[in-house]
Amino acid sequence: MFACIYDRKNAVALMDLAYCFSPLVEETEAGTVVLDIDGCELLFGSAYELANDIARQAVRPIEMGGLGCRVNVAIAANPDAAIFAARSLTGITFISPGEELTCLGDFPIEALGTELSTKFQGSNLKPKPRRQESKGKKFTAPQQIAGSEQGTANEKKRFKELQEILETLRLWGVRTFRDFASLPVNGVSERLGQEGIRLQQLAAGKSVRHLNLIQPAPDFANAIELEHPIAELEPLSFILARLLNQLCAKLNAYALATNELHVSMKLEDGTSHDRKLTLPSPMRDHKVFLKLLLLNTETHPPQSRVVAISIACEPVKPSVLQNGLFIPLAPEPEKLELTLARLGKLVGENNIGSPELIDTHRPGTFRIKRFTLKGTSHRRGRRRDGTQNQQSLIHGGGGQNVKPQCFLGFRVFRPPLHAIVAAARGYPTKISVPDKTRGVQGKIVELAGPWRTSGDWWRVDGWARDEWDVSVESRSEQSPAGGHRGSTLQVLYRIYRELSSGLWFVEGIYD
Amino acid sequence: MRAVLSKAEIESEITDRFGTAFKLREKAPVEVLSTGIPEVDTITGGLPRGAITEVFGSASSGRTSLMVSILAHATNEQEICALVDTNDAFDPVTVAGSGMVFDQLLWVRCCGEDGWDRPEGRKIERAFKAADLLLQSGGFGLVILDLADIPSKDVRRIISSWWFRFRRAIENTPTVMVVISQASCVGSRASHILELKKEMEVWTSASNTSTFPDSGERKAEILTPLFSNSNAVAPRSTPLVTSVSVTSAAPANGFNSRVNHSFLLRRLRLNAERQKPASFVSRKAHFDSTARL
Repeated sequence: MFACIYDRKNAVALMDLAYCFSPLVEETEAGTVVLDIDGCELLFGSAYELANDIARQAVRPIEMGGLGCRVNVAIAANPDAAIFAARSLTGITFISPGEELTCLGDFPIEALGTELSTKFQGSNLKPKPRRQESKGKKFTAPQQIAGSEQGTANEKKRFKELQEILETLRLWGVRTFRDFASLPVNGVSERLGQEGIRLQQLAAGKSVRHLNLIQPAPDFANAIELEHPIAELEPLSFILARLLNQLCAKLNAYALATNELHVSMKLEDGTSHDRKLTLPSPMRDHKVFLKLLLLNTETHPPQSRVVAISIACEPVKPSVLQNGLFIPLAPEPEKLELTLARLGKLVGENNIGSPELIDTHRPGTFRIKRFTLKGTSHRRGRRRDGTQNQQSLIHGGGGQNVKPQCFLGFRVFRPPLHAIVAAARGYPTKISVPDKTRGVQGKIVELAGPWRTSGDWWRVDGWARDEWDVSVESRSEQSPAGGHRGSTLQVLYRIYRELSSGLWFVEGIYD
Repeated sequence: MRAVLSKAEIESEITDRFGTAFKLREKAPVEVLSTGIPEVDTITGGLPRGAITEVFGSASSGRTSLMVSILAHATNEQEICALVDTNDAFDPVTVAGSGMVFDQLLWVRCCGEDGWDRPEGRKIERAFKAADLLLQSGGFGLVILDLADIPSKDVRRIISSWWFRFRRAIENTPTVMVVISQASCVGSRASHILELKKEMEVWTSASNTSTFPDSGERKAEILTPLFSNSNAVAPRSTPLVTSVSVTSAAPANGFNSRVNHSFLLRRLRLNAERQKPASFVSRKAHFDSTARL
C-alpha cells in the first residue's frame, strides 16, 4: 500500500513529515510525496489509522514537527492512484484495492498530464528547478544525479507526446478517466502506442511501478558527551574505539572509505582540541584508525581533561588496488601508515620521509616530504617473486636501467664540526676538532683545493667559503673511525673555511 | 652394519607410510638484489632476500659508496627502500647524481629532535627500534641500517637477540637487510659479510702544483677550473684560488647539476673482500667509486 501526502504550500517540510512514518519515500514533485507503508501496521495500526496519524501530525505546529496546516492524504494500492486521489480530493481518501476506478473514474482526462505539465510550465518547456534540500538535510536520488540533462530532454519529448495524446482523446470525446479506461486496449495500442497504454493504465488505477526513493545523505560523524571527564589515554581509547567502530560500520554499509578524519575533543577548561588525520589512501579499518588516533593523541596530548568527543570523516570511494605479478612488493597502505606514525613518535615527525632537493646552490639544503606510496601505473614490469638469481647476476643480468657504477659516498656532519686548522702559507697542514668523540685529528697528508663558492649574498644568511678535500692521518686508537688498534688510518674529509668569519669546519667524510 | 641395516629398514617402513620424508629437498634458488656494482655482485652473488648482509670497514673505506649504489639500484628497480640513519649522516644533495629515486626511499633520521649530541646508546636504541618497526611492518624491498659512525666498541655491545629478531622478521620475505658498520657485529646471524678497504685515492689532476713551503714531500694540487669565470689568479707563492660564483653562473645541465662542491677528490679505489660465506673461489674484488658533479 502507498500513501500520498499533498500540500503545495509546505513543500519544503513535507519530506520531513513523510520520514516520520516511513523510510521509503518518493518526492514525486514539489508538494507531493509518496510513502511505501507496507509493514507499518505494527507501528501505526491499519492504513486508515496511519492516514489519520499523518493528517494529525501535519496539523501540529512546526515546533512540534508538524506543518501547521491541513494536508491531503490518500492511500491506495498503487502510488499513481494515491497521487491522483491526493491531488484532487481534500482530506483523507482511502482507496481499497480494485476500487480505483470507482474513486478516480470521474476525474477529468487532463489530470493525466498534471505530472509533466507542472514541470514544463506553458509552452517554453523549461523545467522548474527541483527542490533539493529540506531543513538542512540533503536528499539525493540516483536518477537525479545520473544524466539529469538527458532526463530533461526525454521529459520534454514525453510532454509533447502527452499533449498530442490528450488532444487526440479530446477529439475522440473522451472526457474522464472512466471513459478512457473503458476503451479497448488493442485499439488504444494501435492508435496511441505504448504511451497511450501507460496512460490508460494510470486512468484505470492499474499502473505498476516502483517508487523513486530519495534517501537522506548519510552523516559520517559521531559524537559522545562524557558523564565524567577523562584525563588518561587508556579510558579514552575505549570511547574512541566505540565511535570509530560505528563510523567504520557506516562507511562499510555504504561501501565507502575515508582519507581524512577530524577529531574534536571538548576540554574541561572550555577549549577544544582538534586534530586532523590525513591518510594517503582511503581506508575504513577501525583498528588502524584507533591506533593512529592514539599515537596522534599521545604525540599531541590535550591540555585538559576531555568532556566530549566528536569524530567526523570525509567519505570517499575506497581505493581498489590490483597488484600485478610483475610489480615489486610494497607495504600495505594501512600498515605503512601505522609504521610511519610509530616512527614519527620514536624519532619525531620531521625526521621521517623522503628527501627532496631544493632548487638552490646552498650546501646541504634539502627538505623532507611525507613518504607516500606511488601508484602502480608507472612501475616497470619485473617479477615480484623470482626477481634475480645469483647466476644471472654474476653473468651480467643485473639492473638494466642503471648503468653499473659506483658513486663516491659522502657522510655529512650535522651540524658541521668546528675545527682548529693549522695552516702554512694558506695550506691546511694539521687539523683537530675540539669534540674528541668525533675523532677528527691528525696531520693532513694530502689535500686538494681550495674551491671557492658563494651565494645568496643579498641575504643576511649568505654564504662564502673555501672548500678543501683533505686526507688526515691519525692513529686508530685515538680515532672512532675504526681500523686496527695501533695502525695509522687515513680518512678523507671535506673541510671548509668560512670567508666571513675565518673559521674552519669539517663538513663530512668521503666514504 | 646391523645398525645401518636397521636404519634402512626403518626408513623404508616410514617412507611407505609418509612418502618422501627422507628425500633431500631441493634448495630453492636464492633470490637476490643487485648491489649495482658488478665487481661486488661477482664475489657476493648479490644481496640475498630474506637475509641480513653486513658491510663493514673503517671510515673512508667505501661503505657509503656501496650503500648509495645499492639504494640507487634498488630504487630504480621500484623497490620500496628504507634507510635507518643512526647518525643522520646521509646527504641527499651529494647522492642526487647517482640516479637514486628519492620517492622510493623512506629516510629515518634517528638523531631525533635534539641532534646528534645525544649518547650513542640512545641513538642505537632508536635506530634498532626503527629498523624493527620497518621489518615487522613488511613490504619493504630493502632496509639499510647505517651504523657506520657508531664506534666499534659500541657496535660490539649490541646484544645478539636483536639480530636474531631481525633475521626472523625477514626470513621468507623478499626483504633485503643491509647493516653497515665499522666492525663486524652481526656475525653468524648474517648470511653475507663483506669487508671494505680503501686502496688508494685519486685526486684532481693538477694543472699546476705548488710545493709546501715547509715540506718538500707533500704537494698541494691546484684544481683545474671547471667553470670559465675564474676571476682570481694568485701569485705562485700563495694558493691559487678558483672561484665559482654560483649566483651568476647557472649550471649547464639544469637543476640536478649542482655546483655544491667541486669534488676535488676524484676517485677512490676500493677493495671488497667477502668474509662470509667462506669458499675457495675468488673472494676479493676491486672497484672504483667516482665523484662527479
